[in-house]
Amino acid sequence: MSIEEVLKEIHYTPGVRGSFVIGRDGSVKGAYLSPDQSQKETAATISSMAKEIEESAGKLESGKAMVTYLFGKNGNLFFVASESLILAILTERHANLGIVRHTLRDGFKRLLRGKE
Amino acid sequence: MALIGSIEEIGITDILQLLALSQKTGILAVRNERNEEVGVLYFKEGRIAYGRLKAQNMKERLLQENRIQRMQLRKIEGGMEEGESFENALLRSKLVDVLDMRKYLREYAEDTIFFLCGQRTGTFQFERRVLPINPDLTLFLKTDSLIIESSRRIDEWTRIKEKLPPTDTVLELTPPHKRWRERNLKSSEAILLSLVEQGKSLREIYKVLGEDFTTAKTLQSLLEMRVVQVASPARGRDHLIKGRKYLLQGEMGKALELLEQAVEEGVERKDAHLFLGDLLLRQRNFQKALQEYETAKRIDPQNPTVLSRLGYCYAKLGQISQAISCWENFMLLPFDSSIKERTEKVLKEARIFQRYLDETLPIPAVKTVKKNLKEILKDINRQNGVLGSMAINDTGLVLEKAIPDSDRVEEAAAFSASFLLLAMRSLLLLKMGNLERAVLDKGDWRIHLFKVDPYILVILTGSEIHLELQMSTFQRIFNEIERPIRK
Repeated sequence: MSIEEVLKEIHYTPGVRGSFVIGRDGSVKGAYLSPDQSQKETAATISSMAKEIEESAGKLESGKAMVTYLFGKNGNLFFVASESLILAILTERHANLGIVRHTLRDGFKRLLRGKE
Repeated sequence: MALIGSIEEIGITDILQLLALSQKTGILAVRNERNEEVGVLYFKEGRIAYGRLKAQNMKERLLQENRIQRMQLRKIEGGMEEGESFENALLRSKLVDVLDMRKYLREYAEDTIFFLCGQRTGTFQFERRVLPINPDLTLFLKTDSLIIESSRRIDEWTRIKEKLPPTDTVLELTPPHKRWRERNLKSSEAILLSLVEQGKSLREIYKVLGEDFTTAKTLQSLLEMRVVQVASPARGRDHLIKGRKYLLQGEMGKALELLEQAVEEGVERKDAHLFLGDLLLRQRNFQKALQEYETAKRIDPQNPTVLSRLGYCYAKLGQISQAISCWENFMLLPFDSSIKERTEKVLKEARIFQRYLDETLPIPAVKTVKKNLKEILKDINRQNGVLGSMAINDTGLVLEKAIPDSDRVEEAAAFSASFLLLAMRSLLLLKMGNLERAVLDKGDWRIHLFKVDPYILVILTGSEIHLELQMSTFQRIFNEIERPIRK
């Protein structure tokens, strides 16, 4: 499945505002975002966060990918990172966390399978 | 001229073959023995162009399968133009594109055929008519393969039905699966488990979900996987069932007697307390109803019905903050229903009322009930699944800790502070407002980071507890935190 197809499928999940795939160098590989959201800067920040997590928390245990949930006053940002890419999803503040978590994991698996 | 007949004389399968062979265009309506329409199939040149079931329309289907949410549905319905079909309005809303819409319509049409082919009584009527559907959404399904699949399903369904317990049987969740809400289940399985959990009999389950192939197959697979089992006839169960029956009939005296007996006989099921609570609520005895719901909540802390009604009782008794807490937990449960929308409105009003009460305290506060950091961390560590916690400041300095001593504590504190800084920046860039909390989930363990100004609270937990419940529990504890007075 291509990055565009995965992002499109994620976009149909209730409560999802946008999603994007970022390379580990911080470059945007694919995005489904509204034009007012600054892609490049956000991608770079998320990539640094993933690096920070890997360097610190990641040392504790290797293997499973770490899922990060950030809850803001007006919306949420969830992302999951592998060695080669990061999948991030933006949601409404009250989006159903269970459904979005499932979408994130499922989308990430598809992306990794697509890369193989 | 219309083609009319009895299904007992000519089966639906034969009619489908006839219409396919003669390449007819028109509408086939099937009615049951009470002359109620059960389903409709549109034909275009002998192929199936559209299908619709009376028992479950497209809207209900999309809601049940979580493809759209109730709020989105209301919005679509509100924006529908006169004479416009729901499918067109849905397409216009851009929640789905043409390809997805055709996929849904195909599944719906297939299920309609499978259902209609299973009808053994009733009548059919075929009329040649121009089809009232959007050409972009018109299907072109061949009937032969669908008829073969339908026969296979009917055979399988008959076999499954023979294996399933009688319709008055009540099922229960097997102990390892009582926390099913934390798993990723198919929507059909989740709805069925929720009904099992409510103590509904198979007859009642069929009434809600329809006595069809899908329901029977889901039931069979859950029974085979030992997720559910036939409920053991526990002592007091008879009283529970009869009590509930009287409750529904409005015979409160008899119901109360039987339900109390069921509880006394040690029915360790939340249902007895839930029904008793319902009965007391109808009698407007809020204090006693509250006690029953609290007991039911201890048995099943994530039951939506219990949480919703408990909130109502607290509100009626004037205990607004407890009501808010119950409703907040209810809102966090992962399901979609109209009650959730109602509760959201009530919750909003209750929060405003609570704020008003807090701001208009008629006498000056003389005693603070706030807790210091040490007490708060102790409270947190008492929660299920918590491995340790600490409070740090923005620079990563440890202010208080309740975590086993280790040289990694300071390293973790520094990481938490710098990570939160990056997280805050990301959310602001995305116009998502100030960061309230963050969770790092490694699958086996989690780190929760809460911004409770001026502190950052770091909590290390296992992952066996539902994430949303865990977060709301912590948030409730933080509300009691004593903050330094800022000069």
